[in-house]
Amino acid sequence: MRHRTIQNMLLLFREGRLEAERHRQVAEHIEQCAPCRVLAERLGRIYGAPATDRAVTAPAALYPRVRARWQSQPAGIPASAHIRSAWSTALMPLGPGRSLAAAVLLLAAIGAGLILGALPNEAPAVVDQNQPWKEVFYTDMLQADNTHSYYQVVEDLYKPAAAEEK
Amino acid sequence: MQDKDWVERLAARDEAAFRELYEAHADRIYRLCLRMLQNRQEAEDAAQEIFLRILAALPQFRADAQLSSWIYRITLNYCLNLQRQRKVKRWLSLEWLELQPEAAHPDEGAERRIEREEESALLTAAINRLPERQRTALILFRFEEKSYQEIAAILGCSLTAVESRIFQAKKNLGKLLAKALKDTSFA
Repeated sequence: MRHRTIQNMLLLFREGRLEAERHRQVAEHIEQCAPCRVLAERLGRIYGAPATDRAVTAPAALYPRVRARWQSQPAGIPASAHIRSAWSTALMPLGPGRSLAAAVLLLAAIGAGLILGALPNEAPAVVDQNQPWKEVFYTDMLQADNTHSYYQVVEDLYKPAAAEEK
Repeated sequence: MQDKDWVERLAARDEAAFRELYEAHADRIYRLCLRMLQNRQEAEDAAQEIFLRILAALPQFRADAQLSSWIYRITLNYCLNLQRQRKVKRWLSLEWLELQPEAAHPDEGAERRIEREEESALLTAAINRLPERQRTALILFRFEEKSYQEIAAILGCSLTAVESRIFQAKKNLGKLLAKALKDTSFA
């Protein structure tokens, strides 16, 4: 096995968490490889060092702060008024009121989109009743593609009709 | 005192019960906040809020669970939410180094002390880079010295899930530490 593969397994090796075969391979490797052996010892020392923060205590100022806040709260307030669980925070990051309003607005927007999408596409107002295609087609083509001139549009439109007449 | 006694006495606004509850849990709440948030002021503010939440939620506490596990869960959830909201720096806070008490190793020389601080910093930085679930499980196991059963109760997951999270955490931690040691020419 490569050094890097071995090195990635060194902490699990030191902790005795590798499978028997893997454990044997790593043990054989570090017996012959000084850098990996040093690294294994270093990792074991770092991970196995006693937690120094066990001696850390709460600051003296914390007690009066908590007590004052506790005393200022009226008795008998239901816990639900204060507690927001991880789930409710995830689902309602803005708070219940704002989240509800946002949800209503979102649903209204989706509904409006569905209703508008279901309506039939109506042609724009026709200027010339005898030649209705002109206004419609001309407007559409100009909006969609600036390379078409008005005359090309008219010519294209006449082509199928002329073929039918023949 | 039985856990259910706390509930009844605190509901009656018993000052002595409040003091007892505070003294029994303040240090571990603050320490866990400090380890999660790595900032003294944030940890103190968080500990205060957590206490108020505990006091407010105590009437809902089920006596079949252990009070300390329930308190750990509230503390972890609060700190994790704070981390997500404030996007707490995932790298090592310099303040964390200052918090390491020298008194824990009074006889060591200056050189060894610096080396130990560097190792502690490496470990903390590597733990901070672990995925959230692995990190919380490992912190409870490694620093709070909780058993797998206790961690399962605190995190509200199965024993198998705890085993898996801690195994994966150690696996990833080993990789991160090995890389960090090689990069800094420690080894």
